[in-house]
Amino acid sequence: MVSSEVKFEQPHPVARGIATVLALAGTFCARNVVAVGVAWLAVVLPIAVVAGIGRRHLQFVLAIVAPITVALLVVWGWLVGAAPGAAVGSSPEAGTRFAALVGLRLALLGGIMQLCLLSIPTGDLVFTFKRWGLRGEGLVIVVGAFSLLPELRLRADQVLSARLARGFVGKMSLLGRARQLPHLLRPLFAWALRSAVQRSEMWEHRGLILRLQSAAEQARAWSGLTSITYVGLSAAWLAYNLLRMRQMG
Amino acid sequence: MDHSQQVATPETLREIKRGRAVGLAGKNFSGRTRLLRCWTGFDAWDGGQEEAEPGKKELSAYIGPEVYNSISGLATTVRQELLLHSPDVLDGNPVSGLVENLRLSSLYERNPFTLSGGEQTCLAVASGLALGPRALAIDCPTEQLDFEVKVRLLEWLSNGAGAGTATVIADNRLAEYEDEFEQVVRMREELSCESPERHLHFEPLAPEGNTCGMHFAPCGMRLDALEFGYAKGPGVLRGVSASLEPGLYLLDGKNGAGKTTLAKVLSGVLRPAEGRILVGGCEARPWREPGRVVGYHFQNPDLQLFSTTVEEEVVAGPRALGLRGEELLRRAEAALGAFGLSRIRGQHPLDLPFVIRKRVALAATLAMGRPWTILDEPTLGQDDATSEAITRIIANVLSCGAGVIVITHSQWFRRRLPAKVLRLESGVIAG
Repeated sequence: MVSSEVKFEQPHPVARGIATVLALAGTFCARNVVAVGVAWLAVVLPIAVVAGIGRRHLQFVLAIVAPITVALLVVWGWLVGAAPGAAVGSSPEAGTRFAALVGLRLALLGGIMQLCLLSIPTGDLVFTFKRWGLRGEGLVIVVGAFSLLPELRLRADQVLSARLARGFVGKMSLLGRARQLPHLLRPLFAWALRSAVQRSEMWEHRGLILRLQSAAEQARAWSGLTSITYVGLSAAWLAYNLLRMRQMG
Repeated sequence: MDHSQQVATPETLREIKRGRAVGLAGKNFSGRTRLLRCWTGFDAWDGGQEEAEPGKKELSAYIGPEVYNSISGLATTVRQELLLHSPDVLDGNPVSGLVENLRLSSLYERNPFTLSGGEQTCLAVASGLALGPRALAIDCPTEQLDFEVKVRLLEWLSNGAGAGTATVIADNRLAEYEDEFEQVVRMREELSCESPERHLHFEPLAPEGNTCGMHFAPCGMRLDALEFGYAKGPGVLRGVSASLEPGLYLLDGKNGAGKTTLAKVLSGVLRPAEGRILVGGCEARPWREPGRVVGYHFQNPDLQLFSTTVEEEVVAGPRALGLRGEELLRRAEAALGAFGLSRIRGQHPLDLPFVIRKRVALAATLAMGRPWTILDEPTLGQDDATSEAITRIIANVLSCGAGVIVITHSQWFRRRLPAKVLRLESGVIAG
């Protein structure tokens, strides 16, 4: 779900796009664990908090990044005891550093993508995507996807509620809910198919695809300072990592 | 007012002038939906689609009983949904008055899919009118609206505010507010009782049989200061207290008052933040074993059908409660027979029309034979004859000593089955 309560000045969509590309490229080039850690802790995390998506970012880190990082630490730091390409057991420290680097890069990449997409105010979605070059059906698909995910979650919740009410779920434990997942698929698939047909008919008859295009023309005020800060920070991050790569040969 | 028995035909609908609202009455399977879909250009008339002149294709809107599918899915808030249909809908457009009238302004920042059925209907209608379409067909979702909201909508349409649009409202409870229409047309009766698409012949309901199959002794229920609120939202239930003896209750309240939330709390789908539920004098914790004490029939049948056949759907609930053998078969036969589903027992529930899917879901809930059952809009989309039969089935269940709580906006239903009213206002039971 896209944040509708954005608490800070928004960058221009083009600046948002450029900053994201630069920051992602910089992260792919990063080789220094400390630098990646500092970038995540001192830059991405505070901006995520200010942008109102701090909780969602921490959920992503705890639910996805943390388990992967722990598994990598066990494999490379303990079982293999070496960085990739080195002899097994030759340097547990290097293995641990490699695992930490992968985990931190993952947190940073996820944070950058979340900042890029989830901090767009709902009213600016169409304008932003259009500035990124999306047109016609492509625009409809992307905007529809932003609305589909919350709806899918809601429908899944409704199906689960109905199964609970019919006595199909013994107890509302986490395990009980997990066991219900296969049973959610059929009604959700039927719902998705039915609504896809009915909505596409509706879009056509109401001329909504054209209306979406014209809605994209509604402009709003952007913050030049935020745009420059975003692009500047990302460019500095990429430059630093390219320089480090060159120094390391 | 023209309330003659004029038959609804393609020609009758084509003659409706812009700025007029016409009521359409008719039984289930009388071809009403097909007629409306053809009129709005969603389906082709017999003999082929009328082609509009190039560059002159006019907009049209059809809002069916599955009202959530008449929301575009291209907007994440109510405000955006309205703006997508018309950039000036909130200020300056004639529909802005209707938006205020339907109380949509207080819902602007909500996600359209989290609204109640009635609120979604208001949004779908306002969005449809904001387009300024040539034709707007509203096929049954108005049954989910408060009576006063229906009347306000009709008054707005009758005042010529939707000047560019010819509107047809089909409603199984049209008789309740027929006088508000300038003109009412009726479907031909002889087309009834056959699904035009599949040529399935549906049996009439047989409510006289024993359908209740009570599994537990009848028992009273006491609600003691129940409180509940959704995350990031204000409290919906703010101390609901009531003492209910077995019998029929009508859970009343405006659209969005929290009726469905209370039903979910009682059936164990949601856990109350505070308060107690006492059944037969003992404290019950329905959220630990949902569906054991209170059965719940949801408003939307599509999300509560899980099996591959109608018969399997009906037996699944009782089986989950531990019933086996002859008792299970007896229960299934009674429910299938009562709801006229015996001949289509082998059909996939999701292949059936909305009206029949609703009946299957009702049969599946009542077959569970709980001491208490909550029915959310049980007659939604059903014509008068079927609704009459459903009320008789409910009366039959009540005669077994069970308790039934019905959530409905239908005045017709209220007149048919006298019930004690539980009116939900500001999160508490009023009076």
